[in-house]
Formats: sequence, C-alpha cells, structure tokens
Amino acid sequence: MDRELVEAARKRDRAAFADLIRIRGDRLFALAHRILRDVDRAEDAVQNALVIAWRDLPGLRDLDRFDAWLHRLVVRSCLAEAKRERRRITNLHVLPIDLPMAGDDFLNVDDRDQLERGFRRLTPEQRALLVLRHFEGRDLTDIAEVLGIPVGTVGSRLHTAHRAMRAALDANARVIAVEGRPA
Amino acid sequence: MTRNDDIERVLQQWFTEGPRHMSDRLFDGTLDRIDRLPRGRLADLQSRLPAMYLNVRLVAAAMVLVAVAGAGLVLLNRMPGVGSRPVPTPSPSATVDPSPVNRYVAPGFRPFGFGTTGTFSATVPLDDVRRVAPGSATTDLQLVNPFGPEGSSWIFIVSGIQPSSDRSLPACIPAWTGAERTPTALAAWLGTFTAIEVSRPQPVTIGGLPGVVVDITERPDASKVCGVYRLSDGPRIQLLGGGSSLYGASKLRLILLDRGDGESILIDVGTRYEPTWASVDAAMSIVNGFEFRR
Repeated sequence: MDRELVEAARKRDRAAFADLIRIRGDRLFALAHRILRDVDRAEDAVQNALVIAWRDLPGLRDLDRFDAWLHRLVVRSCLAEAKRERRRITNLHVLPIDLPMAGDDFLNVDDRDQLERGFRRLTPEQRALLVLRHFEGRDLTDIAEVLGIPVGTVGSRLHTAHRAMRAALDANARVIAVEGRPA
Repeated sequence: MTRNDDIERVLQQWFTEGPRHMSDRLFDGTLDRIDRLPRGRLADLQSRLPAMYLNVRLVAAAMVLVAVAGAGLVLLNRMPGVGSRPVPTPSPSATVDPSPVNRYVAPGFRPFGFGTTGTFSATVPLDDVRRVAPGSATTDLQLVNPFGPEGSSWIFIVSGIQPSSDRSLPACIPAWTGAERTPTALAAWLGTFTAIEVSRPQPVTIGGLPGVVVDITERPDASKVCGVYRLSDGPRIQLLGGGSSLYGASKLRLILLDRGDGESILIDVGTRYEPTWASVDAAMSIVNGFEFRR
C-alpha cells in the first residue's frame, strides 16, 4: 500500500488524495457497479464514499487499514444507494448495454438475464457479500473486516446468500417455464 | 443454466463482465465536491501541528496568538462601521487597490473561516495547475451566502484552466477544438454549449491581468437537451476541467484571465439556492482585490 500517499492525504494534501483516487478508483467503481448494477448509481455511491473518506481521513488511526476502511465506506454507500433505489424503483428504465462480454460463451443471454433478475431479488447486504467474495475474491476474514462483522457471521450470511441466489434463479426459471420467456 | 453446486463459479464468471474503469467525470466531480466542502481552520491545524517540530509548533502558536489578537483589535476598531459601508458596485474593469485587508468584504457576504478580516490578495503560481485560497495555500474561499446554506457560495481560482474532458453528455458538452486556451477562446467555446445560457463576454482586468467575464446559468430544459445526468444533488454540467461545474439552480460568473502564455487563469464565483445574482455581485468586491504575481 502506498502509505506515504495515505499519510499525505491524511494531512490534507489534495494532490495525494487525488492520486489515491486515481490508483483505486477503477476497483472501487467496479465493486460498486457489481453491487448496484447501474453505472450512474455506482458513480454516485463511489463519489459519496470518497467525499466522506476525504472528510474523515484525518481521524483514521491505522493507515494500514486504509484500503479496508475505504472499501467499507464504498460498500456502505452502495447499501444506502440501494435503499434509495428501492424507493425509486418505479422510475427505472432500461438503458442500452455497452459492456464488454466475457471471452468465452460460458453464459448466454438467458443465463445473464436470469442472473440479473435473481441478483436483484437479493437484499443489498447479500449482494455486497457475494460481490466481495466472488468478484474481489476476498476470504472470509477480509470480508469481515470490510463489513465490520464477525467472521462466523460472514460465513453464515454467505451461505444464506448462495441459497437465496439459487432460490431466486429457481423462481425465475419457473416464471420462464410458465410464460415461455422472461417478463 | 448451470446452477446448484456451480453457483459460485457462475457468479464469479458473471461478475467479470461489466465496466471496470472510473470515468473522468466521476474523478473530476469527486474532486470538485471535495474542494467545495466547508472546512474549519481548526481541523486543518489539528492535522498539521503534529507533523511539526516542537520549536516550529511554538512559533506557529505564537503567530496564531498574535494574529488572533490583531484580528480582535481590527474588529473592535471597525465594529461601528460594520453594515453601514455601501456595497461596492461590481465593475468589470475595476482597478486593483494595493491594500487588500478587509476593505473588499461586502456587508452580508463574509468569507467562511476567515472571520470578518482577512487578506485577499492571491499569489498564484502561474505555472502550476492548482487552486489557491486568497491569503493562504489551502483551498477555495468558501463564502457565507445570506440566501443559502453555509458553503453554498464560493470563489475559487485555477491557474492553467483547461476545457472540460467530460464527454458523458456529447449533446450538450461540445468537444474542444481550439489551439490556445486563451480567455477569449474559452469563452467562445462555452458559448457553444447547448444546455447553458452564457452572457456575452465582457472585458475585465483583475490584478493587472486582462481577460473576459461571462455569467452562466443552466437552461430550464437542460435535461432534455443533455439527457438526464444525475448526481446526488441534481443535474450537473462540467464546464472546465479541474474545477468549474454548473449544478442545477446554480449561478456562475467565470472570469477568465490571460496568463500571457496562451493559458488562462479562472476565477469561478458561484452560488446555489439563490434566486438572484446578489451574492455573486457582492463577491466581486473581493475578486477585484486579487493580485497576481509570478
């Protein structure tokens, strides 16, 4: 970790903080996008988290925990954004997808649609847990540190999230079987 | 589809898809918001003092005491006149008064964090792209807006301003095609934005540097022109890289000054939540007191 940059940013060095954002911005945005599944909301969540980070950084005692702390801020910001999203759900509209696809054809269009719909059925906390685990590849201890919960709780919640995802996919599969295609 | 015991592998695969890069607008917008955060001087001092050596700390403490005592004396001397001083008329061709202390503070428009006294001459390093606060080297000068919440008015300065690199709204943010980033060229480019209303550039001289001044507001139908771009607090159009953005219901006065080397200095005077230009007009009395030195 670039400890010198963190130390400088903690002392209100704006250029150092800008460098920290440049270095970590892509990863934070990708994390937020996987949780929220929306570019604009992910940008809002990351921006809010970074503004809070700048505000509260002077109070961070252990600089070695900067990354975990920053990820925690982003995840919390995503959870807050997701709750707002639920309230505004009727205003959602579909935007053209301009995203890179995986190299192989492991997931087809129906698979992705099922995953998308199943994922949206999960609670924001469950989504965050799955993204930290399967996108960032964090182990349970890391996830516990980011989320600020005990390791045992992470394990049980992860199990529940997997089960919820399977159930959501099963439910979608039933809908598709009845209707013939996704609604 | 593949499910059951493969759910973890499926999720892993699915998460690899999707955008992975932070946009320039997110980067610039974040710094923009950070720079506009109201900041207390004590918080700054608390973070800086531990890094100083003891003798430096003692000197700094002594200087602070002297400054506070001096400010108190000045304040006491000036109290009978507070509020009775006429508001200076903003003048696009104002000349610079070499005595900068306090005389440019208009009633009802006092600098946040500086009390009612302060030095507003700005020493701008013309070769750097950085913001400076008049009289210090921290951030932009936040101003108390009598018409809005704290921090809703500001002045900030950027040396070496660039056109916006935000290409997220191509329908309303035209691409920059100019060569030299002179005040006239930048003002002309801003005039081609479809979602904003820009006044005709007027000549101005601030701190001995010539330039132009334009007033900018958002068109009422900006969202329709640009498509909805939503940040947490409303539509936002980035005008100039590294700084100036127009938020919904905000008013900007951009003063572009000629550095003499094909680049421009920007003084961004802005206000939000205010139905008139009163705060911006009042802030001009401060801006007219800026001095620039190489």
